[in-house]
Amino acid sequence: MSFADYIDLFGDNIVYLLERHLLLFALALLGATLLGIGLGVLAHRFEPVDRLALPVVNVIQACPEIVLLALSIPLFGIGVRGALIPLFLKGVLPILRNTSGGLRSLDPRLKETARAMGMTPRQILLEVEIPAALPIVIAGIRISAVMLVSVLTLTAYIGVDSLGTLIVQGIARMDVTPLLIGCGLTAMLALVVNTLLLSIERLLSRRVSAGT
Amino acid sequence: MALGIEFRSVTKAYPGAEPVIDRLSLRVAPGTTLALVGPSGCGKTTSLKMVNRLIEPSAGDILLGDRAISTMPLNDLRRRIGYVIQYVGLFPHMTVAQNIAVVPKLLGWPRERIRARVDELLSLVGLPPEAHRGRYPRTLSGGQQQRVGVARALAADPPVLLMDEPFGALDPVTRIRLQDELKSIQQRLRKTVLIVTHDMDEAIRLGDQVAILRAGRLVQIDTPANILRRPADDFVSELLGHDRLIRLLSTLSVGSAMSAVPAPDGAPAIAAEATLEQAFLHMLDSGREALAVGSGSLHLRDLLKVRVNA
Repeated sequence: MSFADYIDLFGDNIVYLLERHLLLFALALLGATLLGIGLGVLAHRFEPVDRLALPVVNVIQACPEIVLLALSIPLFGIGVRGALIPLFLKGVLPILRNTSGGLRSLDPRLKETARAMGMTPRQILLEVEIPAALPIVIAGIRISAVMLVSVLTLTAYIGVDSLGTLIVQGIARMDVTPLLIGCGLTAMLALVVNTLLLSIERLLSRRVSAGT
Repeated sequence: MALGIEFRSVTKAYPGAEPVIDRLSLRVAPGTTLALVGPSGCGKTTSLKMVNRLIEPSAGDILLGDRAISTMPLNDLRRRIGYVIQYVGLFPHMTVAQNIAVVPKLLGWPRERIRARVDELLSLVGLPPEAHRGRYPRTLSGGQQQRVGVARALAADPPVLLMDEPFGALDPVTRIRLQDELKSIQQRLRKTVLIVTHDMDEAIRLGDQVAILRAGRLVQIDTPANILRRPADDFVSELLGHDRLIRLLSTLSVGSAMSAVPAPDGAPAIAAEATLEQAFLHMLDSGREALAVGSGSLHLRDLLKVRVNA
């Protein structure tokens, strides 16, 4: 089947799968960002968290996605939860590492000045430390986002619709057309996400990376 | 209103080590500048940081005005003390205006008042507000950053200013220019300033009083001229350097040593506000031993008395 015919026939389905993919992506990235920044701040603040959380996250990171998905089926069942939880966990690590690393890389005198000006610990974290480390945190989010966008295709293997569904279909039917459409859209998404976040990162670091 | 600072037998000791500060007592009179000088590790920065309680003393009291700072709410205390460190202290993600506005914002000033204050301070430190308020610190030169640092410390008009090696990262020319500007700002504002430096020239130039610390103890505290005239011991003489008497000349004005005797005809003129060092160099340069100062004069032998005149 030619591309034109395929799109003519299954255009609605492609749009539906793209929407599903974007929804899953948004959920996974949001979860990974919140957890990653939260754990990153904790790991920076409290040495034990750093020592306990990092190995766990590292092991998860080292596991191939497909293994994580397989393991998650008995835990979370087949469905969105089973698909999303293991993948979003994989997205946590780069954000966590960049958050705690970014905070650690700040000049300690920055924090001391903030204290000397009478800022509360909360104000120091939210108004000084996190904003100053933001470009590095965003770099972590970008790495996660690009990874999540492509890895989400795997959810098709456990019955959750995404652009991966097209790829699985293509493989199953030995039909290159859906395969290429699935792959192509995924790759384009990854490029768009990367470019977007990279430009935010550049914009922020242009002002932040102070000449110190 | 400026408030004085007083250290009363303040000690800072960490377990199992010699005390960093050993029973330090000194006063900074309201509206004056005290320069704390000494070699690295003498405890000068520790002393400074105890004033805004970044470090807590192990014993003794520090008073601001007539109140012990240990009895004041921590953040109230800190918001009333301007703090300037080497230029790394500017927040890199905030514009110049936002940096200066930090403490006024913490104090809940209305936005209009903050904006007016930012512009006022930028003008005060010699940065045209139009061109600078929206810039980020990394786009500024070291000297400009330090000016913003001073403006930020002065933002909420604190009675006390703490400065830790504020000009340490600047090139010598910029450093001297900023020291002069700080002096003229201080003449207008009359803050109580405690400045830490390892640079004796800076201490002499900026301090109404100079305190010399060594291994956590106060060695000598006096006016710059008196310290140059009579160093307390060999350690102080060494810190002052072999040219301390030339430096003494640079701290005294022609007016302080001149006499009413009219100058001989043809003597070159010098202003009464010039330093004795400038006068001395002028004598060497012109080969004359007397200079005309208004209707009076300054003779070479007047210079010989400066060491004993208190």
